[in-house]
Amino acid sequence: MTVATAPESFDPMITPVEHVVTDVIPEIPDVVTLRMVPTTGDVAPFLPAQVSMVGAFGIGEAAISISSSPSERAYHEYTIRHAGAITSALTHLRRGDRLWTRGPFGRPWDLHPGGDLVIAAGGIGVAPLRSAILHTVEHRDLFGAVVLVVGARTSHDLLYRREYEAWRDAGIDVIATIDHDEAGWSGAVGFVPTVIGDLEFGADTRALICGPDIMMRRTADALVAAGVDPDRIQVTLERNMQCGTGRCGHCQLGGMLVCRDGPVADYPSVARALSIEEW
Amino acid sequence: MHHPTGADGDTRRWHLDHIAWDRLVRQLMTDVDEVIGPVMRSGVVRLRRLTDVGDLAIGVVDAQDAGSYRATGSSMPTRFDHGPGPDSLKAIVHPAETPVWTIRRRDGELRVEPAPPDTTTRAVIGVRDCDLRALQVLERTQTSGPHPDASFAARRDGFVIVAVDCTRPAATCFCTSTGGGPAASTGFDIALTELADDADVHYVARAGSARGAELLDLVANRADPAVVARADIAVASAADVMVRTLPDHARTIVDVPDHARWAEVAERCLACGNCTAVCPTCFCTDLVDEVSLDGETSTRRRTWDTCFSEQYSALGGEPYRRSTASRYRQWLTHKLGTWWDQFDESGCVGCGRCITWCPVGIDLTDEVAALLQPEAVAP
Repeated sequence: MTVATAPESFDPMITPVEHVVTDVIPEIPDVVTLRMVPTTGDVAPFLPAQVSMVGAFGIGEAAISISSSPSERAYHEYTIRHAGAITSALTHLRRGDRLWTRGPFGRPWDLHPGGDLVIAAGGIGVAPLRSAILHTVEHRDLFGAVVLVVGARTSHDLLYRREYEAWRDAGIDVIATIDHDEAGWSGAVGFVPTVIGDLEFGADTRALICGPDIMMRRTADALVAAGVDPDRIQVTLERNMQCGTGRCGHCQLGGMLVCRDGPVADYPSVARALSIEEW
Repeated sequence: MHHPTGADGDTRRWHLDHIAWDRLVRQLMTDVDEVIGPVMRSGVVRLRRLTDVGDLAIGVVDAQDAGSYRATGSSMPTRFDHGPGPDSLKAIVHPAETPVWTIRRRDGELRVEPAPPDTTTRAVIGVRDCDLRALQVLERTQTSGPHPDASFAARRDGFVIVAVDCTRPAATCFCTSTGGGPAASTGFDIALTELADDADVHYVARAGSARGAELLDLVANRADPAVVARADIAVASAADVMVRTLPDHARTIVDVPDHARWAEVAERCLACGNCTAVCPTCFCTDLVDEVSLDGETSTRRRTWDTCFSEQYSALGGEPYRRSTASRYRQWLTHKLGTWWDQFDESGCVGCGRCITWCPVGIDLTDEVAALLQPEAVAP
């Protein structure tokens, strides 16, 4: 499938595209990765951090970011946590089940080559970063130092842990940290912003952050304190997306319609909005 | 004095007595699929489909105030001597419920059938300037992006609009402080000024489109200058009676998210969403999937939603805006402030409906005035 450009052409944001589940990969508890392909046409091209509305028959849709590599043209993967009715239906799908997507859409991470890269993920927030991580794995020579800091409550909540080895082999410094020490754990202990605060960054460092709002704010603050240019810090926002076309209003964050203007945002443009309770 | 004109400075005026008026409505009934106008329903002036020219509300005046609406009879057989009722063009062009698609499941495979576009043509009679401007505001939210709502555009394209200048605004109206009214200014085919003397109601009309001019030529004669002058005076004097105002810097309420007034108004606000339902620009919608009893057909409807509901902001079932204060703040800061960031204009046209139809009489102009007052600093 090619990207629609002519005004009269098919709009994949409006008309759903049927997909079939080709694999269900169990991740951590309550989280699975669905691998899927469209039942007709090609796998849609996308950029890291882009999102689709993923639909379960008779239940509804949830906005999920594509977690596979942007260079992977054989399938898309979506990592989904069982949270509400829709994601519950999605996480219970089996191989061969049909679902649909509307997308991909949204502003991607800025992954322009050059400079160091720090990628910070809190909890399930590593899912919207995985496509960017895989992109850097495949194009490692385009970047300077690449550091990935992944935080989770416990070691059992570290998503994609089995892939760390491959990421490290590709030259990514993967730092996993858990909130409290555990027997047998030899990695870092503490919250992501604390771990970030102990690192040093070059002047040309670009940062990608995904996690709960509070984690993103604290991490951005820690990066700024460590000398990272605030304008080079990007966050990805999660709000209640429904239409994906900027028309239903649900995903507003202040002056942003997150589906239209995000999900990725330059941190300074949303720092105030993220700091206001229930904004 | 400012003289209202039609499209492209068209200064022609027509005069319609009650016979010409009836002819105009009947002509519209011939020309389009549905003619919609103000009719009385349960003591309220509503916009409803007409089956006959006699369906229009006649001799109705209203008294509106914060949380209060009363329509009463008058001795004059006027059709438009009342303020805006609860309905705007929103309910017609962006309906409370719209079919989106049907998905049928056969042997596990899904087949999508998009709902056919609404190609009904409609004439709407009695549209005020607030609602003409609201239509443009609403249109921008639904059709200006990369994925425009084709149904909205189709319904909009099918409109013939007969606007009316406001000669007796409601006490809740404040359109002149939002850059509009009381004369119909934009986006109409025909604009009328209603004049009443000695039990005789008649109209001075101007054309806003070639179609409007054709219709007027068909049913009416040109107006003489004396009656045109009377119409212009009636409209101009309406601007002076509006007491409520919205200050030019109302949008700066986004700068005071921690103002104590938000919590204070939340003590009164019921979070019922009436204001969003009657607002002519509140556009938020929800997508609802319903499955047939045999489990093999899923139908998607788009319905109006309100930012006052707890579920509106919910992610994974968890509301993000838990407090009424945060939801009222979302509504008002969006309407007056962040709407500018999203659509480069204000979302408020000054129709005053949110004031009239608030069950506890919260007055947006009062709230804005309070929010723009600096808070007393604790010693």
